[in-house]
Amino acid sequence: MNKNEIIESGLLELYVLDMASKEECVLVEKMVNEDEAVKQELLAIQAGIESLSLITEQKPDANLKNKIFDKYSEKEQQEAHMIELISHKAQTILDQTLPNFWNHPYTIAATYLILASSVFFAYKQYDSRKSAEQALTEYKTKTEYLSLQNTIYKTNYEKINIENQILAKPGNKVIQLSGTPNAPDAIAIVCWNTNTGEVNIKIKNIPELPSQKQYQLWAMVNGKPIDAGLIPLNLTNNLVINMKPFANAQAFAISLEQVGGSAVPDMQQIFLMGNV
Amino acid sequence: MKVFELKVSEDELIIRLKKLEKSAFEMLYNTYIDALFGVTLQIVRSVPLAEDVIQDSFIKMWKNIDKYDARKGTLFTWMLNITRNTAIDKLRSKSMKMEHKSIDTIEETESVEHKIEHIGIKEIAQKLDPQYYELIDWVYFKGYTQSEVAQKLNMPLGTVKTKIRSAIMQLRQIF
Repeated sequence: MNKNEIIESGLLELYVLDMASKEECVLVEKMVNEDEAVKQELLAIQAGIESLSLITEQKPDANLKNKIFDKYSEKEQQEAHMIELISHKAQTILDQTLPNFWNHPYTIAATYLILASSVFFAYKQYDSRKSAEQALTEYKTKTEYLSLQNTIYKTNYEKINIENQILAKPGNKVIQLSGTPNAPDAIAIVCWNTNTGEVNIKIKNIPELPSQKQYQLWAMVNGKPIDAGLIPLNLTNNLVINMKPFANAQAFAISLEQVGGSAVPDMQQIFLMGNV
Repeated sequence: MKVFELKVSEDELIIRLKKLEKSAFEMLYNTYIDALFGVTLQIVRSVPLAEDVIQDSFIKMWKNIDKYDARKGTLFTWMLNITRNTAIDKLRSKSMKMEHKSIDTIEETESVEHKIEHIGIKEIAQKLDPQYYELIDWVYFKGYTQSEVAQKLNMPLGTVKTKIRSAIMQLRQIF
């Protein structure tokens, strides 16, 4: 969609009214970032909607303000907010970086086993006949569990740090690849640095590989698909993968090929694509 | 075009809001409450219910201020959408409770029972094309989704989008 098409389509209005779908929001945000005219139109629509609310203005009872600000003292809110923030962040880290690890039945079983054993030992602690040996085992189990957790967080933190460094480089262009009918849920983000040519990719929800097959990234350069590298066979969701560099490209696509890749893509087996 | 006057710059206010400063939220309340309350009242059509909605909305703003992104819209549009969504949710859950009557029947009986017709609404209704007024009423005050509007008008989604655009264009020209 070009800028006039998006302005005429009514999408900006839906976006301001909070009626746009997720995909529509992504599109609008992309266009607003790229084009000053689209941004100005969005601001004008917002001002229009805001003026509507000026017409219907109505003063509430003076007590309403006290009800809101007395009941929720600053401190309580800050604490609740912090706890929510921390647990949200921790959950995001776990969701994003170690989905396979956490979803693996053995991991779940092992986690419960460790948890159950610490509960068991905690119970034992209240038992007057508890021996020194048992106490030692308990602390050992707890410490092992905590250090395991610590390692997981540390690894994730480092991963995210590296990702951030990659994404924050100047000259970076972010290109979204959408799934074709071969993989409608798949999504990928190509981060292409126009200064250095460096190409990084992050893939989500791509179908599991059939045996003897491998995904391959292609860059469209002046109408021709050029091999941009193979996607590792043991790919996990959301991992950033470094691919071959390109000085010039108009689009990127991912196809399903024989293990080891092909010289030209199988056009029937394109799974994801997106224009620069 | 800026329609509200803040005592500090919006950027500065946002920084203070993100630090969860109570005084910053009070400034937000003082500046925008009349506009937010007016819209809420138009949606839920009951003062106690509107007061509940405003309380819930301010808690949501407080809790979600870290997610607010100035590149995506003005602070007021963000607040307005939180408040409108809270009000519309409340209206819909209330209508669900009332013996599973459809939203339409509730609206009809309510508007007859307590008609809190704001003078501004009359002005909007008079100045806009009737079809555009109806559309704005549906999407802005009643929270109809794209597909609900499409169903009501028996039109494809693409046409609904451009119709909503025309309605807001007219609104922008008049007000």
